[in-house]
Amino acid sequence: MYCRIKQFYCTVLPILIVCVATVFVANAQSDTSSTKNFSDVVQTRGYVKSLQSASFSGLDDLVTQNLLHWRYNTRTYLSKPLTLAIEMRNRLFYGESIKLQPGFGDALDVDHGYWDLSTSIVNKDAVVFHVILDRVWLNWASDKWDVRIGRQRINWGVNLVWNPNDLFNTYNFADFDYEERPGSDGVRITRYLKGLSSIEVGGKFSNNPDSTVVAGLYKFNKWGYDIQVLSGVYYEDLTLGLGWAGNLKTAGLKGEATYFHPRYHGIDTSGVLVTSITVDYSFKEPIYVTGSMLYNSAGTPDDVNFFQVYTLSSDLTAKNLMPTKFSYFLQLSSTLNPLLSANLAGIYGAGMDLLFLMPSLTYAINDAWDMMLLGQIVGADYSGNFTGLGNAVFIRTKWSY
Amino acid sequence: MLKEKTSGPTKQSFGLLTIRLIPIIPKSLSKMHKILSTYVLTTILLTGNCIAQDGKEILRKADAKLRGTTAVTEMSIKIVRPSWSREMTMKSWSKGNTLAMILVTSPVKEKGIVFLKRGKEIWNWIPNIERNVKLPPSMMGQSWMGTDFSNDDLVKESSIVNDYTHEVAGEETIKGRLCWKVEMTPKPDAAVVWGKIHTWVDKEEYMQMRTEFYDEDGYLISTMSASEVKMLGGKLIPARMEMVPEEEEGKKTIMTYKSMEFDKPIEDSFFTTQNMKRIR
Repeated sequence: MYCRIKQFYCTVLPILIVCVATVFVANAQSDTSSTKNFSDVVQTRGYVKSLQSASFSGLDDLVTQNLLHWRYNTRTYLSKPLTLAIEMRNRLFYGESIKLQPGFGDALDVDHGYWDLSTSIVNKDAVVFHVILDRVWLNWASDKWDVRIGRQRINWGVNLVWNPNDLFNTYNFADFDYEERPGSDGVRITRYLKGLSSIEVGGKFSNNPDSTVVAGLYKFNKWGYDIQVLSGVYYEDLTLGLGWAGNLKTAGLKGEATYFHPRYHGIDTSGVLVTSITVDYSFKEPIYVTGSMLYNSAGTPDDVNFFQVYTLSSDLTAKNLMPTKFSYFLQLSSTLNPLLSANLAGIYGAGMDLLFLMPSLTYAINDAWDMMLLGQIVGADYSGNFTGLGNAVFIRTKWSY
Repeated sequence: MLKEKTSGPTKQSFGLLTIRLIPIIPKSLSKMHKILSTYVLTTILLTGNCIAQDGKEILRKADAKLRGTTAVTEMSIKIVRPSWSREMTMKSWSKGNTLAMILVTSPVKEKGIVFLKRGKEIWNWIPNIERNVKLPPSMMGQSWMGTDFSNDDLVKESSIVNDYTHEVAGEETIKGRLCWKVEMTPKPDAAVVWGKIHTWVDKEEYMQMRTEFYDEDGYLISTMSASEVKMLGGKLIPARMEMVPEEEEGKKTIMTYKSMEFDKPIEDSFFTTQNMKRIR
């Protein structure tokens, strides 16, 4: 861990300092021509959330958890081409469920990136205060180029729900409280071509060649579709992917497919195909429907530990988005009135009859405050019977600034 | 006659500005618990000029005035209800009929959300997850938060000019301005929600000062009133428009132009998915 912290301070930090210094010198020299407000140069925003939750399988075993969460995002416009972003996720967990999970603070304090930017400032049996920098990047932009280095989100998904093309930031949708999603430590270079076309190359820093991702993406717009092809090295595999987003009459039709082939013993071993197709449609009333299917050729119809799906699994990869071979998703959303919206999402994993339901209500108290009530229900086939595996209820209050 | 009537006064043209609002529901991208409902508005219509006495030409001219070859607009939109109100501000860039970009500037929850329209395609940039989502066309026909006005389908151009037949029904004075009264009837094959529209257009400045929207049975559903006429982008334009539904006390929607700039050259390359990430 120390080593990774050291790496960060030895590599990224000096670059940032040099950039900041250069910019301030440059700005000082051009001060006479233009004066900028501090708020034009440094922009800050974020939110504070309070998440109260109760997980239970019956009323005899209800466990509560409290989470106070402060997100702090800054963008510093160092100069016209240079932007620095730092985003911080600060979470204070306390109460019963922390007590019941010995080692919770240690488990939380694992940074899966190249640099260790995570720390549990307080790590006690009933209180854990965890801080992580999940974005620290410097971006250089010109008309035709974007170069971004640091911890960033390289978002290659075009599909809804499941993103086999999203090689850098796989996300578990059950983790509804992390809309920003984790970042990747690496570099991304984008070259914009004519119209809506571009070429992008991304690389994830790693000391071990088997735990890195280096890939290229070409995207373009044709026949009313956004189309992308990608290829690269994904951990121990070589990948080839295709993604598209367009319309089928008035419905949206989006999809992604990625093929993973082992880099070693490639001739003897077969690859894995992960593909997902989504249709979304907005009715007049207004109900918005999203239906999606995921095929994972390596999926197993056998029983799996449902925690793979239910908990915040950081080991989730683009190659293994769901444990089942065929998975289905359906979501209904409705804006009941301008302030209140309702949402019901369900996932079904065929074979093991894995069922995950997530109903929610969101209420906009005012321009800055929101409230949400959300439930999660998980069940699966267990020895021939469909068995509930757990339920959870969340109440979230959010203040944005 | 094909008419789409939704419950209540959901779809309305906001006078000449034919407000086009898209409700955006990019849930499920990052999480399924929440509907991030954001809405957008754009004002897109274009026309030529011609003989003023012709009802259609009156509307064409009024329409062209607000559109220019390009337009950069800062505006706010406020929904007023008996027990609450909400305001959103945004900046929009448009070029001709087909290119438009809208940046939401407040409230803070939605700040930074961007919409891009290129022909019939629409994208939505969601800054906190750094993702661009392509929206299905069916979403474009949605009403705006169930409020007093809505979008007549973003991909359809110049509805108020093309979807109706126009007849000049006389002259009346509205807010001290001499106006033509133009009665508009939907064409038989037009997919519009109104049974008829009456509009009053300033004879000198081609400003739509008042518009009444009727259902198929001839009942008045809502009224749009323009006010605060002032110079915006070198043209005399009503800066404030208020849409008030009939028989729904305490409800209204107010749109206010804060600034407008016309005919400033904007490259087509401004209206690209890559630029959505950059504008601020």
